[in-house]
Amino acid sequence: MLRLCTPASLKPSTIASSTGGDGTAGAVEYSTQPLRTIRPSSPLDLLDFRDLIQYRDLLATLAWRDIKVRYRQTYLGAFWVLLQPILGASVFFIVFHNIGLLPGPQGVPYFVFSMSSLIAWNFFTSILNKASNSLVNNSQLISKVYFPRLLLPLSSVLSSTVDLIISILVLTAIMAFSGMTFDYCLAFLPLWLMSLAMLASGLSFLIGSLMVSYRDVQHILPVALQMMLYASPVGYTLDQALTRAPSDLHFVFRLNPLSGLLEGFRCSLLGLAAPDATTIAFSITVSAIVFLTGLVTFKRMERRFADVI
Amino acid sequence: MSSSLKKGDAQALPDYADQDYMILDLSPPPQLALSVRGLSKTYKIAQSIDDHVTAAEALAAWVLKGFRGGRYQDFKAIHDVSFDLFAGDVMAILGNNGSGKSTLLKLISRITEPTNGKIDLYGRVGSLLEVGSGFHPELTGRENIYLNGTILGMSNREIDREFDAIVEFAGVEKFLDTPIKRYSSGMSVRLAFAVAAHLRSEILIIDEVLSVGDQDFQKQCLERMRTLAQDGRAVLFVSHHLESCRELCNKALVLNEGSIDFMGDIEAGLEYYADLQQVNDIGLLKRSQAAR
Ligand SMILES: Nc1ncnc2c1ncn2[C@@H]1O[C@H](COP(=O)(O)OP(=O)(O)OP(=O)(O)O)[C@@H](O)[C@H]1O
Ligand SMILES: [Mg+2]
Repeated sequence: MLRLCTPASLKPSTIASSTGGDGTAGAVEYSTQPLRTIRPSSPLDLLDFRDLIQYRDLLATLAWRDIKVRYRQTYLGAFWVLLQPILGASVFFIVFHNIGLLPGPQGVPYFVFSMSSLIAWNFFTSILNKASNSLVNNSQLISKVYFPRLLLPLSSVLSSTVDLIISILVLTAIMAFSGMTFDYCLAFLPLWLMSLAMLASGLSFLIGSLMVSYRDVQHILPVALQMMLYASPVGYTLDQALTRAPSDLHFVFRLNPLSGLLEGFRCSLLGLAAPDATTIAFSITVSAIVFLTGLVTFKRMERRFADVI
Repeated sequence: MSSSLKKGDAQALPDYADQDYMILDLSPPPQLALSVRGLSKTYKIAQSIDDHVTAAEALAAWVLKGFRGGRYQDFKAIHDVSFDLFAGDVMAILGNNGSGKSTLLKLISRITEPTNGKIDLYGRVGSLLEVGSGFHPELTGRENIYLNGTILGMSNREIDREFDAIVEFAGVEKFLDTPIKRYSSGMSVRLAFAVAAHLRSEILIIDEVLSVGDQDFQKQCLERMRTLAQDGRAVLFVSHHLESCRELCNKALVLNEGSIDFMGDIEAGLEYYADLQQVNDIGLLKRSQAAR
């Protein structure tokens, strides 16, 4: 590396004496070619993910901040991760099983059934809620610091995944306790979870970047999620939904990519019958398309985030 | 090259990135840290204040606006700015409120994107546009050092290495495991600046962050920045506190309504800036007299 000297005319005046007057840079080295050139972005920059790798420590740190902050100043701490699906499943048990007289499928206790559904559903909504809001919640950061903006929603995905893993472990403990076993279907669990994560994060990239300009989305999201809960086979199986709902409403469950993913997830964990191949293919394809659409939209809109947020 | 440039000369600057000047020039040029060429930033600002009373009115206005393509006006926050920054230079950016200082720093730190022009960076950029960006009140001092450090672009390993120095600089050893929300505001500022002061980047960008903290700490910060510059770092420094500019900087750049009005030595720059303000004051006086 070349050490260059400062000509007398340009020698920094105030520091020349303290550096001994030779003007050479001490501890710091510069490159002779530009390390980076900043220009108005072109469409090709959409494919530039180098920064994401450089900032990978930040991804982990943000996710870890999320997890830590959530349970600070709570008595039960991380136990809330276990309690939430158990309490949720209890409500479902009373509403759908005791009042709605819905049986659990194929000898699976209804409580275990609804708890597994809720674990998948909570994973989906937790990504959607946290990742969509992550940009607006960190507006201060976005307008004052540079980092790849994608890290904000991605860190929410990561922290939701940690919660998911803990609750799956609790469920398996409950299942083992009630004498249930697993079969080869368990091997497909990552496929369903990956698809769920893609669907949820793709949606939250879209919703999050919209929310930067239009905060209205913040008010629509909870309502939309509530409606979605009933339009997805969470408290009931897809079969139960299709046999009990009027046939005009079947399209809701057929076009909902969550149908296939939730059924698949339960098939893997509880050993229930697998959804048919078209449902699986449809759900996974939709998830992938939503993910890519969300990613491209996010990258296109992200350069305006700091200006409008 | 002359040591000071007045308005209009900026275009005459060479484009170092495209030129292998080592061969042409026998006396080696100074190490270039940063070069800015023809930089512009245009913001869209709302032209009229929307004062709708009901949601229906707002909706109607929105529909109409949609048809007319929006009532936005272009605003040039930075207009055709070119300059170079060399190793060891500490450049003060002077200018009135709204003259585009923060915008220029945001462009260089990639927070916002230029509308035109380019910036060549010959080193990594560390920027401190706000003290304690990313501090979380619920987390402890220790946790916040890691959080803030990674947000500013350090890796965990780099923070491990600098950790003790950061804590010592901030002087908060006793409160390291206390949540930041129990810190006095001065203490959290000290911690935040301490993290930023240990960035390993070659180019440092600092925007009016020293106005907080007590006298001793301000002195400590200026001292630290001087050391950083002596190591060969290039610093861009925005402050309305002209005394600290004089003390710390060797170059000055005066921005006026988004364009460079003056560039050169700090003393001349401060003088130019004082004159500029006087001219503005006279203009104001004349206008208010005319109004009467
Ligand atoms: N996101 C934005 N959208 C629209 N206009 C903006 C935006 N950010 C800055 N501006 C405008 O750009 C101009 C320059 O702002 P900037 O913050 O760079 O000023 P400054 O020189 O830092 O002023 P100060 O001394 O008050 O800090 C201002 O008129 C401001 O209103
Ligand atoms: Mg400013």
